[in-house]
Amino acid sequence: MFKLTALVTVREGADGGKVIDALNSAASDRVHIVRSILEPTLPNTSNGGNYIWHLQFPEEAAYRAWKEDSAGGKKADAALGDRALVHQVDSMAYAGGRVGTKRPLDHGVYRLLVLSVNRAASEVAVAQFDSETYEMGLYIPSILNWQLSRVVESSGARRWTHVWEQEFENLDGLLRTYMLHPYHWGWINRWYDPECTEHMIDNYLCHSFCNFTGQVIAQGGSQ
Amino acid sequence: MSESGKETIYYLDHITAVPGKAKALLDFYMKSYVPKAEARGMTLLHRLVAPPVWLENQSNDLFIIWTVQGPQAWWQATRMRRSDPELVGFWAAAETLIVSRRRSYLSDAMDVERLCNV
Repeated sequence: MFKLTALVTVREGADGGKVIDALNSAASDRVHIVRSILEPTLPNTSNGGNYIWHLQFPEEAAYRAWKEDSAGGKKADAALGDRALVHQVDSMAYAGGRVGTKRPLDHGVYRLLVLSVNRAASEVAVAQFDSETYEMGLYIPSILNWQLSRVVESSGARRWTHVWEQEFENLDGLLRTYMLHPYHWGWINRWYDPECTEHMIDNYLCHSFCNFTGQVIAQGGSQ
Repeated sequence: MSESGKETIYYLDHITAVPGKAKALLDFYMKSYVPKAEARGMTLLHRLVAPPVWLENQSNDLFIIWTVQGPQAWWQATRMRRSDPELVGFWAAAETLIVSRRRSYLSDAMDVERLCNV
Protein backbone atom coordinates (compact mmCIF):
# COMPACT_ATOMS: atom_id res chain seq x y z
CA MET A 1 0.00 0.00 0.00
CA PHE A 2 1.20 3.49 -0.84
CA LYS A 3 -0.29 6.52 0.91
CA LEU A 4 -0.62 10.25 0.55
CA THR A 5 -1.66 12.23 3.60
CA ALA A 6 -2.10 15.99 3.70
CA LEU A 7 -2.95 18.24 6.61
CA VAL A 8 -4.80 21.17 5.12
CA THR A 9 -5.31 24.53 6.82
CA VAL A 10 -7.89 26.67 5.04
CA ARG A 11 -7.19 30.38 5.04
CA GLU A 12 -9.32 32.22 7.59
CA GLY A 13 -12.46 33.58 5.98
CA ALA A 14 -11.93 31.57 2.77
CA ASP A 15 -14.53 29.22 1.36
CA GLY A 16 -13.34 25.84 2.57
CA GLY A 17 -16.07 24.17 0.55
CA LYS A 18 -14.20 24.90 -2.67
CA VAL A 19 -11.13 23.10 -1.35
CA ILE A 20 -13.20 20.17 -0.15
CA ASP A 21 -14.98 19.84 -3.47
CA ALA A 22 -11.70 19.91 -5.38
CA LEU A 23 -10.07 17.32 -3.14
CA ASN A 24 -13.09 15.03 -3.25
CA SER A 25 -13.12 15.32 -7.01
CA ALA A 26 -9.40 14.58 -7.24
CA ALA A 27 -9.90 11.52 -5.03
CA SER A 28 -12.76 10.12 -7.09
CA ASP A 29 -10.38 8.22 -9.39
CA ARG A 30 -11.14 4.58 -8.55
CA VAL A 31 -8.61 3.30 -11.06
CA HIS A 32 -5.63 4.36 -8.97
CA ILE A 33 -7.09 5.11 -5.53
CA VAL A 34 -8.41 2.34 -3.31
CA ARG A 35 -9.37 4.39 -0.26
CA SER A 36 -9.84 8.07 0.45
CA ILE A 37 -10.73 10.06 3.54
CA LEU A 38 -11.34 13.76 3.97
CA GLU A 39 -12.34 14.62 7.50
CA PRO A 40 -12.29 17.78 9.62
CA THR A 41 -9.81 17.60 12.45
CA LEU A 42 -11.00 17.50 16.04
CA PRO A 43 -10.18 20.26 18.56
CA ASN A 44 -6.76 20.49 20.20
CA THR A 45 -4.57 19.28 17.38
CA SER A 46 -1.14 20.86 17.10
CA ASN A 47 -0.13 22.05 13.63
CA GLY A 48 -2.77 19.57 12.54
CA GLY A 49 -4.70 21.61 9.97
CA ASN A 50 -8.46 21.92 9.54
CA TYR A 51 -8.70 18.74 7.46
CA ILE A 52 -6.94 15.43 7.14
CA TRP A 53 -6.89 14.24 3.55
CA HIS A 54 -5.71 10.68 3.19
CA LEU A 55 -5.43 8.60 0.03
CA GLN A 56 -4.36 4.99 -0.41
CA PHE A 57 -2.98 3.48 -3.58
CA PRO A 58 -2.22 -0.17 -4.29
CA GLU A 59 1.41 0.69 -4.98
CA GLU A 60 3.67 3.67 -5.67
CA ALA A 61 3.24 3.43 -9.46
CA ALA A 62 -0.49 4.07 -9.08
CA TYR A 63 0.28 7.14 -6.97
CA ARG A 64 2.70 8.42 -9.62
CA ALA A 65 0.11 7.90 -12.36
CA TRP A 66 -2.54 9.70 -10.32
CA LYS A 67 -0.12 12.58 -9.63
CA GLU A 68 0.22 13.17 -13.36
CA ASP A 69 -3.51 13.01 -14.04
CA SER A 70 -5.11 16.38 -14.69
CA ALA A 71 -8.28 15.23 -12.94
CA GLY A 72 -6.28 13.71 -10.07
CA GLY A 73 -3.05 14.91 -8.57
CA LYS A 74 -2.77 17.99 -10.72
CA LYS A 75 -6.27 19.10 -9.73
CA ALA A 76 -5.41 18.56 -6.08
CA ASP A 77 -2.14 20.45 -6.44
CA ALA A 78 -3.98 23.40 -7.98
CA ALA A 79 -6.51 23.51 -5.14
CA LEU A 80 -3.92 23.13 -2.41
CA GLY A 81 -1.68 25.68 -4.08
CA ASP A 82 -4.38 28.34 -4.18
CA ARG A 83 -3.08 30.82 -1.63
CA ALA A 84 -6.41 32.64 -1.54
CA LEU A 85 -8.04 29.50 -0.17
CA VAL A 86 -5.31 27.51 1.55
CA HIS A 87 -3.00 28.82 4.26
CA GLN A 88 -0.83 25.76 4.93
CA VAL A 89 -0.41 22.23 3.64
CA ASP A 90 1.82 19.57 5.10
CA SER A 91 1.87 16.68 2.68
CA MET A 92 3.55 13.29 2.96
CA ALA A 93 3.77 10.46 0.44
CA TYR A 94 4.95 7.12 1.80
CA ALA A 95 4.91 3.39 1.37
CA GLY A 96 2.96 1.94 4.25
CA GLY A 97 5.44 0.67 6.82
CA ARG A 98 5.18 -1.88 9.56
CA VAL A 99 1.58 -2.48 10.65
CA GLY A 100 0.26 -3.67 13.99
CA THR A 101 -3.32 -4.79 14.62
CA LYS A 102 -5.20 -5.79 17.74
CA ARG A 103 -8.72 -5.72 16.39
CA PRO A 104 -10.43 -4.03 13.44
CA LEU A 105 -12.47 -0.88 14.01
CA ASP A 106 -15.26 0.33 11.76
CA HIS A 107 -15.21 3.75 13.39
CA GLY A 108 -13.15 5.63 15.94
CA VAL A 109 -10.42 8.22 16.10
CA TYR A 110 -7.62 8.28 13.55
CA ARG A 111 -4.50 10.09 14.67
CA LEU A 112 -1.25 10.82 12.97
CA LEU A 113 1.96 12.33 14.17
CA VAL A 114 4.18 13.75 11.46
CA LEU A 115 7.78 14.31 12.42
CA SER A 116 11.15 15.20 11.05
CA VAL A 117 14.28 13.39 12.18
CA ASN A 118 16.81 16.13 11.61
CA ARG A 119 19.73 15.40 13.93
CA ALA A 120 20.11 11.64 14.07
CA ALA A 121 23.44 10.29 15.22
CA SER A 122 23.21 7.39 12.80
CA GLU A 123 20.86 5.20 10.80
CA VAL A 124 21.16 2.72 13.66
CA ALA A 125 19.58 5.30 15.97
CA VAL A 126 16.77 5.94 13.50
CA ALA A 127 16.13 2.20 13.18
CA GLN A 128 15.98 1.93 16.97
CA PHE A 129 13.51 4.83 17.10
CA ASP A 130 11.40 3.10 14.43
CA SER A 131 11.37 -0.15 16.36
CA GLU A 132 10.55 1.45 19.71
CA THR A 133 7.81 3.59 18.17
CA TYR A 134 6.21 0.55 16.54
CA GLU A 135 6.23 -1.14 19.95
CA MET A 136 4.08 1.65 21.41
CA GLY A 137 1.21 -0.29 19.92
CA LEU A 138 2.22 -3.38 21.87
CA TYR A 139 2.45 -1.64 25.24
CA ILE A 140 -0.28 1.02 25.08
CA PRO A 141 -3.64 -0.73 25.24
CA SER A 142 -5.75 1.97 23.60
CA ILE A 143 -3.78 1.81 20.33
CA LEU A 144 -5.79 -0.76 18.41
CA ASN A 145 -4.20 -0.46 14.95
CA TRP A 146 -1.01 1.30 14.08
CA GLN A 147 1.57 1.88 11.39
CA LEU A 148 4.91 3.65 11.23
CA SER A 149 6.12 4.71 7.81
CA ARG A 150 9.08 6.55 6.40
CA VAL A 151 8.22 9.40 4.07
CA VAL A 152 9.29 9.27 0.43
CA GLU A 153 8.44 12.86 -0.46
CA SER A 154 6.97 15.71 1.50
CA SER A 155 6.14 19.38 1.51
CA GLY A 156 5.18 21.87 4.16
CA ALA A 157 6.77 23.28 7.26
CA ARG A 158 9.55 20.69 7.44
CA ARG A 159 11.20 17.95 5.40
CA TRP A 160 9.02 15.28 6.98
CA THR A 161 10.63 11.89 7.52
CA HIS A 162 8.05 9.77 9.39
CA VAL A 163 4.31 9.32 9.66
CA TRP A 164 3.07 7.57 12.80
CA GLU A 165 -0.58 6.56 12.42
CA GLN A 166 -2.87 5.04 15.00
CA GLU A 167 -6.53 4.10 15.40
CA PHE A 168 -8.30 4.45 18.74
CA GLU A 169 -11.77 3.43 19.77
CA ASN A 170 -12.42 6.89 21.18
CA LEU A 171 -10.75 10.18 22.03
CA ASP A 172 -10.02 9.12 25.61
CA GLY A 173 -7.77 6.41 24.22
CA LEU A 174 -5.62 9.07 22.58
CA LEU A 175 -5.77 11.99 24.99
CA ARG A 176 -5.58 9.98 28.19
CA THR A 177 -4.22 6.48 27.77
CA TYR A 178 -1.76 7.23 24.98
CA MET A 179 -0.48 10.44 26.52
CA LEU A 180 -0.22 9.21 30.11
CA HIS A 181 1.19 5.75 29.51
CA PRO A 182 4.78 5.48 30.81
CA TYR A 183 6.01 3.86 27.59
CA HIS A 184 5.26 7.24 26.02
CA TRP A 185 6.57 9.80 28.53
CA GLY A 186 9.12 7.58 30.25
CA TRP A 187 10.68 5.99 27.19
CA ILE A 188 9.80 7.18 23.66
CA ASN A 189 9.87 10.81 24.69
CA ARG A 190 13.66 10.91 24.93
CA TRP A 191 13.95 11.00 21.13
CA TYR A 192 11.91 14.23 21.18
CA ASP A 193 13.39 15.84 24.29
CA PRO A 194 16.11 18.44 23.66
CA GLU A 195 17.51 17.71 27.14
CA CYS A 196 18.07 14.03 26.40
CA THR A 197 21.20 12.89 24.59
CA GLU A 198 19.07 10.70 22.30
CA HIS A 199 17.20 13.78 21.01
CA MET A 200 17.00 13.73 17.21
CA ILE A 201 13.53 14.94 16.25
CA ASP A 202 12.65 18.49 15.32
CA ASN A 203 10.42 20.04 17.97
CA TYR A 204 7.97 21.22 15.33
CA LEU A 205 5.54 18.33 14.96
CA CYS A 206 2.14 17.84 13.38
CA HIS A 207 -0.23 16.11 15.79
CA SER A 208 -3.59 15.70 14.10
CA PHE A 209 -6.65 13.55 14.58
CA CYS A 210 -10.17 13.12 13.29
CA ASN A 211 -13.13 10.78 13.50
CA PHE A 212 -13.23 8.01 10.95
CA THR A 213 -15.59 5.35 9.67
CA GLY A 214 -14.32 2.30 7.85
CA GLN A 215 -10.75 1.14 8.00
CA VAL A 216 -7.93 3.70 7.70
CA ILE A 217 -4.79 1.80 8.50
CA ALA A 218 -4.71 -0.71 5.72
CA GLN A 219 -3.34 -4.19 5.95
CA GLY A 220 -1.04 -3.63 3.04
CA GLY A 221 2.01 -2.58 5.08
CA SER A 222 4.85 -4.80 6.11
CA GLN A 223 4.37 -6.79 9.31
CA MET B 1 3.39 3.38 46.66
CA SER B 2 1.85 6.74 45.74
CA GLU B 3 -1.71 7.94 45.21
CA SER B 4 -3.10 7.05 41.77
CA GLY B 5 -2.31 9.74 39.22
CA LYS B 6 0.15 11.28 41.68
CA GLU B 7 2.80 8.59 41.54
CA THR B 8 6.24 9.99 42.16
CA ILE B 9 8.16 10.19 38.90
CA TYR B 10 11.90 10.57 39.19
CA TYR B 11 14.25 12.24 36.74
CA LEU B 12 17.77 10.90 36.97
CA ASP B 13 20.59 12.88 35.41
CA HIS B 14 23.61 10.56 35.44
CA ILE B 15 26.56 12.70 34.43
CA THR B 16 30.19 11.68 34.16
CA ALA B 17 32.32 14.77 34.66
CA VAL B 18 35.57 15.67 32.97
CA PRO B 19 38.39 14.65 35.36
CA GLY B 20 38.80 17.26 38.08
CA LYS B 21 35.69 19.19 37.01
CA ALA B 22 32.87 17.48 38.90
CA LYS B 23 32.66 20.09 41.64
CA ALA B 24 32.64 22.92 39.11
CA LEU B 25 30.00 21.09 37.10
CA LEU B 26 27.79 20.57 40.12
CA ASP B 27 28.16 24.23 41.12
CA PHE B 28 27.22 25.31 37.60
CA TYR B 29 24.24 22.92 37.61
CA MET B 30 23.03 24.24 40.97
CA LYS B 31 23.40 27.85 39.90
CA SER B 32 22.21 27.74 36.31
CA TYR B 33 19.87 24.77 35.98
CA VAL B 34 18.23 24.19 39.35
CA PRO B 35 16.35 27.49 39.81
CA LYS B 36 14.81 27.27 36.35
CA ALA B 37 13.84 23.63 36.77
CA GLU B 38 12.29 24.33 40.15
CA ALA B 39 10.29 27.15 38.61
CA ARG B 40 8.86 24.58 36.22
CA GLY B 41 7.52 22.37 38.95
CA MET B 42 10.42 19.97 39.44
CA THR B 43 11.64 19.22 42.97
CA LEU B 44 15.30 18.48 43.55
CA LEU B 45 15.58 15.32 45.67
CA HIS B 46 19.24 14.28 45.58
CA ARG B 47 22.59 15.42 44.25
CA LEU B 48 24.78 12.37 44.74
CA VAL B 49 28.42 11.98 43.84
CA ALA B 50 30.48 8.84 43.33
CA PRO B 51 32.94 8.27 44.70
CA PRO B 52 32.33 10.69 47.59
CA VAL B 53 35.61 12.49 47.10
CA TRP B 54 36.30 15.19 44.51
CA LEU B 55 38.77 13.49 42.17
CA GLU B 56 41.49 15.55 40.51
CA ASN B 57 42.74 13.28 37.74
CA GLN B 58 39.75 10.99 37.30
CA SER B 59 36.05 11.39 36.66
CA ASN B 60 33.37 11.63 39.28
CA ASP B 61 29.85 10.51 38.48
CA LEU B 62 27.01 12.77 39.50
CA PHE B 63 23.53 11.37 40.06
CA ILE B 64 21.05 14.23 40.27
CA ILE B 65 17.52 13.19 41.02
CA TRP B 66 14.36 15.24 40.58
CA THR B 67 10.73 14.42 41.21
CA VAL B 68 7.30 15.42 39.97
CA GLN B 69 4.00 13.99 41.14
CA GLY B 70 2.25 12.07 38.39
CA PRO B 71 2.33 11.96 34.58
CA GLN B 72 0.23 15.10 34.19
CA ALA B 73 2.82 17.03 36.20
CA TRP B 74 5.56 15.40 34.13
CA TRP B 75 3.98 16.67 30.89
CA GLN B 76 3.45 20.12 32.34
CA ALA B 77 7.10 20.37 33.39
CA THR B 78 8.23 18.98 30.04
CA ARG B 79 6.23 21.51 28.03
CA MET B 80 7.65 24.33 30.14
CA ARG B 81 11.20 22.97 29.88
CA ARG B 82 11.03 22.70 26.11
CA SER B 83 9.78 26.23 25.70
CA ASP B 84 12.70 27.63 27.69
CA PRO B 85 15.80 27.88 25.49
CA GLU B 86 17.97 28.77 28.50
CA LEU B 87 17.10 25.52 30.25
CA VAL B 88 17.81 23.45 27.16
CA GLY B 89 20.90 25.57 26.48
CA PHE B 90 22.37 24.73 29.86
CA TRP B 91 23.61 21.43 28.47
CA ALA B 92 25.45 23.09 25.63
CA ALA B 93 27.01 25.55 28.05
CA ALA B 94 28.12 22.71 30.34
CA GLU B 95 29.53 20.59 27.53
CA THR B 96 33.19 21.29 28.32
CA LEU B 97 32.69 19.87 31.84
CA ILE B 98 30.95 16.65 30.77
CA VAL B 99 32.33 13.39 29.41
CA SER B 100 28.93 11.74 29.04
CA ARG B 101 25.46 11.94 30.46
CA ARG B 102 22.09 10.30 30.32
CA ARG B 103 18.67 11.33 31.53
CA SER B 104 16.24 8.60 32.58
CA TYR B 105 12.71 8.66 33.95
CA LEU B 106 11.96 6.25 36.76
CA SER B 107 9.30 5.20 39.23
CA ASP B 108 9.06 3.02 42.28
CA ALA B 109 8.69 -0.57 41.08
CA MET B 110 5.50 -0.80 43.16
CA ASP B 111 3.95 1.97 41.03
CA VAL B 112 4.60 0.38 37.63
CA GLU B 113 1.35 -1.52 37.33
CA ARG B 114 -0.75 1.48 38.27
CA LEU B 115 1.17 3.83 35.99
CA CYS B 116 0.57 1.44 33.09
CA ASN B 117 -3.13 1.11 33.90
CA VAL B 118 -4.31 4.36 32.34
